[in-house]
Amino acid sequence: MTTIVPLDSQKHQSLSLISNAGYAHIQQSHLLPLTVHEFAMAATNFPIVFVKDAQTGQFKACALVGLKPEQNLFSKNSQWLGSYIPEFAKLHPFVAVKTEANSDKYVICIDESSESLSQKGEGDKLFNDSVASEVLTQRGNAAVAWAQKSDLTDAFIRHLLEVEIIQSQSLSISKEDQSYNLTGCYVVNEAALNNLDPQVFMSLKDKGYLAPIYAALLSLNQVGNLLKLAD
Amino acid sequence: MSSKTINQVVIVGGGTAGWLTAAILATKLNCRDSKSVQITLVESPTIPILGVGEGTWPTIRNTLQMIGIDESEFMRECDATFKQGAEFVNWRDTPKDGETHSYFHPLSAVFHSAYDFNLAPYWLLGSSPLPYDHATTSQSRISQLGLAPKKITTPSYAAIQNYSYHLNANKFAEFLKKHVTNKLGVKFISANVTQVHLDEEQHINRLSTDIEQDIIGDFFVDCSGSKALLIGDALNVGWHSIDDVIFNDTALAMQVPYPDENTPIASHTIATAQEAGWTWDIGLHNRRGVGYVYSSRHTSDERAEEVLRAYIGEEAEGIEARKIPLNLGYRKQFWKGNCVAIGMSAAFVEPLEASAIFLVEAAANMLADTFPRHKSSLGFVESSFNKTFKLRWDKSIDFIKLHYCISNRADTAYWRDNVDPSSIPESLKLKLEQWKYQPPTKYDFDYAFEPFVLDSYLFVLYGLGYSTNLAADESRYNDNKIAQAKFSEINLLTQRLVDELPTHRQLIDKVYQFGFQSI
Repeated sequence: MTTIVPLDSQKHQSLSLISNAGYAHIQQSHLLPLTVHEFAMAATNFPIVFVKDAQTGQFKACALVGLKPEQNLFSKNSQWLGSYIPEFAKLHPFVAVKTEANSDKYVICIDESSESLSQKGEGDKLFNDSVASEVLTQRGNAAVAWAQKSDLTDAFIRHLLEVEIIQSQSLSISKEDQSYNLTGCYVVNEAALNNLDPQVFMSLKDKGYLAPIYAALLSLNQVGNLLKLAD
Repeated sequence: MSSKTINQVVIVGGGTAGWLTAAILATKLNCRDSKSVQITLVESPTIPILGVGEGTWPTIRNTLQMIGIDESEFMRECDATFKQGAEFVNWRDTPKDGETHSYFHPLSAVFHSAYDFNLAPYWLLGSSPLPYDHATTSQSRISQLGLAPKKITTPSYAAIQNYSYHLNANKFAEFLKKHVTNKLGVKFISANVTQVHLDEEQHINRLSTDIEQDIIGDFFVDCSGSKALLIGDALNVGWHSIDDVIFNDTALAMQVPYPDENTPIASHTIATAQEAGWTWDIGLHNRRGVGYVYSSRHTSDERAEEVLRAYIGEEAEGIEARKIPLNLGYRKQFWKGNCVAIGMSAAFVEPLEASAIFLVEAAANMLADTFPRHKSSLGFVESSFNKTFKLRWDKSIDFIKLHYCISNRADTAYWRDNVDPSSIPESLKLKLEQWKYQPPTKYDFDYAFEPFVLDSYLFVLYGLGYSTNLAADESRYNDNKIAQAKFSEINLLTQRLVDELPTHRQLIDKVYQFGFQSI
């Protein structure tokens, strides 16, 4: 169970961070959030899909890292089996949350239940006499930077929805005696992209959206990579 | 007869009827194209719209989507919530010692439509221990538990359980007006119509107003409400009263705020039978709309207000009740010459099954689909429109009357008068006679545009405990295995939905905050 709370220099003064804690926190996630800036790299490892957040109904871009819920094929014995690790996986246990819905101010939160946090002084201290340590400053900045890129990703997805090139697709994957059926995935639809009005298509180019769109499209071939890891 | 083309359509009156008609016509006739019909809507700046119609039918989802409206935006702007049907409280028997009875008339007929396999006879023969509404559909239970008909991840306008909306009628008219004038190419004039001019063929050709120069038109739609400026005043079409069938002629309405922002919102209309009518209770996003529809021949306004306040309880303190006279009936002709009446200028049959907005949609759709572009086509469309809408209103009246005329309540003259055979239309009497020894079948509803179909009748008949005696006919119902399988399928589905669906309040809050996705 995760317990995300705002970081507090008093309450969390004695906490320290174990830097090589591995990927236990995403061991049971078959979907990992991505930002649009990562699409080109992510596409060399996993299928990029769009899924709806169950709480808000809003679309998120995600790396598909498993063939069924609660399966992460890339995380094994604290090792990462791919050449690219989604930035999200490296933020843990930090997360930047907006102070208000439309604000550009963030508050740094931590997952108090995280195994990478220690009360016994192992690893790097978060605070030195109530002042943020260098490690905390660096990790906090990374969390804010990720949250900002995530906002840009949301705008990217909204645009793709508006021009109607994202479509629902249940991924049916089968190999020999194994078959998987993933529902609730949405992907870039190649035919819809090709049928776009030239003006609309050019607007995608002007916004710099073409590269990530094609990356997402090509990434779907990485289903083969997942099957290989599942063997 | 002239073969002049019809190019200018003038709609008189805003309100839900006027703006919805404008939206449907403008979309279906593609009015943004200059070669198409041009529509002008003239609305009085001084006469307020009635604005109490708060219930809709699921057809409104198609209509809103067709005219290009975003569902989440519509809901936010109109304080709208999801409606999954109606719960009828105390209609079967006179409540005794605080005990109440209720049954649901849900909107979902997806997995239990009686059209293909009618469960009613098996239910009548005792194949399910549950009441009819719970045995044959999941939605009664879902509504009863205050759950929503869908999830925040369900796309716009798509449903898990069929639904329509409860909405603020004033805000809905404003919202439609903005959409229709900004996006659909309808011209808007704010003025009072002062005179209606007819040509030698007795067709309307011109309206004088208090501000602009005269408004010229080839075709006119009367959406002026009960005033009926065109169809009544100018064209002298009479009114067919139905007060001998449905007695309610007055409504008292109140707007009741929620005690706090976490108060559950009912996802169905609660219609409670009272001594001289019934109360409606509709949960919008920010308040309830509550009212009492009653027969002034059977009670006084003072007594009616007492009944309404007693129903609401202390939350009614300090809130004023608004009195609305209702004139139940319909025009002897809805369409005459180059004028058609839509909305309350055409007909009104009390709000019990929330059919008013539905029949506006139906009329506007037929007008658009059969729109006479040449004057020479007017006669044919006039006659088919009049024929079908007379049938639809008669059938609506039969169905409304059904709620009253098979009730066991006999506590007041109102209820005793309602079961008097002389107050029941012949068409309904014949059906009720048939249903004494056989449950309704799809063949009893064979008209293509039946407003109320088989499932609706079944919910009301067996919700009210109508007795259909199958003793002599039991042998023909030998598909008991199929019936059992269907009953348990419905139970399983209910269980799954109970686990999956959010509460109505939770979903409404999310729709207002995040909105649905289009896919």
